[in-house]
Amino acid sequence: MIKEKLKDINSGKLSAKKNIEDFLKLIKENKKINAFIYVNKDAVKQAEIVDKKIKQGKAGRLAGLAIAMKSNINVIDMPITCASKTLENYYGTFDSDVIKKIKQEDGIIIGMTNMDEFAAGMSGESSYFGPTINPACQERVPGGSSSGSAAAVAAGMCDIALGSDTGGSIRNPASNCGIVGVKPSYGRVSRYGLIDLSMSFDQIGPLCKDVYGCALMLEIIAGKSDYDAISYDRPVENYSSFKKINKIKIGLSPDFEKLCKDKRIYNLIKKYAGELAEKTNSKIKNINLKYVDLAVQTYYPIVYVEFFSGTRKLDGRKYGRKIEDSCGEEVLRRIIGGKEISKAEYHGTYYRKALRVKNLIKKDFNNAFKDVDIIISPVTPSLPNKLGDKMNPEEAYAFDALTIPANLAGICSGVVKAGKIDDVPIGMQIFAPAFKEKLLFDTMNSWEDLNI
Amino acid sequence: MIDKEKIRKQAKRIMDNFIKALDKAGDIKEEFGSERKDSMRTEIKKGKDPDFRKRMFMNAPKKKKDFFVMEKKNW
Repeated sequence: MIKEKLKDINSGKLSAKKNIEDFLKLIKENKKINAFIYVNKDAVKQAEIVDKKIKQGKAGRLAGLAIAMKSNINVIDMPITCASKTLENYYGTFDSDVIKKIKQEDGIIIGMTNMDEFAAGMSGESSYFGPTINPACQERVPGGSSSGSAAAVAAGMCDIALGSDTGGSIRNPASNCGIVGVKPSYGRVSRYGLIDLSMSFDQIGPLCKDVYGCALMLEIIAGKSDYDAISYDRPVENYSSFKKINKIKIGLSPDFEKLCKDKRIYNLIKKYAGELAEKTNSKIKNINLKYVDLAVQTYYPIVYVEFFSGTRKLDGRKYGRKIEDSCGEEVLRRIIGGKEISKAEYHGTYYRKALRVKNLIKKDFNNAFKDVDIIISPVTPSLPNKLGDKMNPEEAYAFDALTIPANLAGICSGVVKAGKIDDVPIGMQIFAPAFKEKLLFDTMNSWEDLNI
Repeated sequence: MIDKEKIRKQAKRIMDNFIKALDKAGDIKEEFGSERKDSMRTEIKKGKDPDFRKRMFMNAPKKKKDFFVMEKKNW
């Protein structure tokens, strides 16, 4: 769909201005979805400039596309609220690396999307600006934390959106909203300008209705930046030029099956993995991921400590309000918990111990990838909750059990649509080794082409 | 109104339970370290944004002429 739209825009069949105006109309008509916190007032003017560039033959690869941005990614002169009261009135003072690249390719930032407050959530309900509604299933949560980005794509209010993924924040809402989402390998995309949740895991990635849109966007935003020390200097392949996968080895793990509470989800994904294997002359192989059941318990101590550290700048002096005085319960829990376990008397007991187990999980995946090319699993262990359902923190954290392992291992992972259960969209998660995004996209595209 | 002490106890309990669960992994050799040759990046000269100062001051909760006003006696 994105490929066809780009053709239409570049051939003059559809103007960038008309494309943007159509989206702005839809955003206005669908305010109840609450996908956007802010809509770019200059979007139409910017589209007119892009139209001129198209006529001159000077337009970039995203010419005229409407790009929605998660509210923790800095865009100059737009509110970067992190969906919080703390940063309610904060405006970006510079463009993030990803924004610079999008603007260079003539993509138009259509607005800033809703999210869980400071990305600390998995339901899309904890925003200071109110919960996001799931356009694909209105009584269920859209998932988070990139809830608004996923909802905006699913409701057709933008072409492509960016989110950030620390433990599943792109993949979880992509699955719940029935769209495609990708968490790139750790270090694949510069995080300069991203307001961090946990520096060891955060990655920026795309969400779109089709694999092509995600592949094209990642092709543009990936690469080393001098402003992000963890970004790796590795070549960015031509992700959007797909090659059909053939005779690959697909891994399924009984360890993931054990974590899946709703066995209907696992069985559906297992069945689809089998169909993918059959249609691509590939083989299914069972793999052992011995420590993957410790992923949640490993991830949260690291996130608590790093979030506490990262939020020390939010003291209400240079910008915003003091975070502890203005945030919601989950954000406060992570700050206070992080502070508690960072104390000197706990040295080595929490954070370092969790880092050691993180290495074991990374080794688990590295070993598995010696035997298989990709691994397939569900995205969530059960169907998304009903909007407004109460859960204790441990229950909420367990929803990330199948997505967190990719962040701990630093590998890339993508979600594609895989049917419905009880009329709720289900996503299929595909893992590929670190910096093998090309293989990931080729597999995702091969699945999409099967049209199951 | 959020009860901070209740949250602190709850967060500590969750962390204690999680860390206890990690005992299953047994004694693990620590293998941290950088995978890159140079751990320090070269300092980069940034292009100047003439309006940067104006933008920063717009975000400041309290200001007086050319200064951010920090809260007094609050911390």
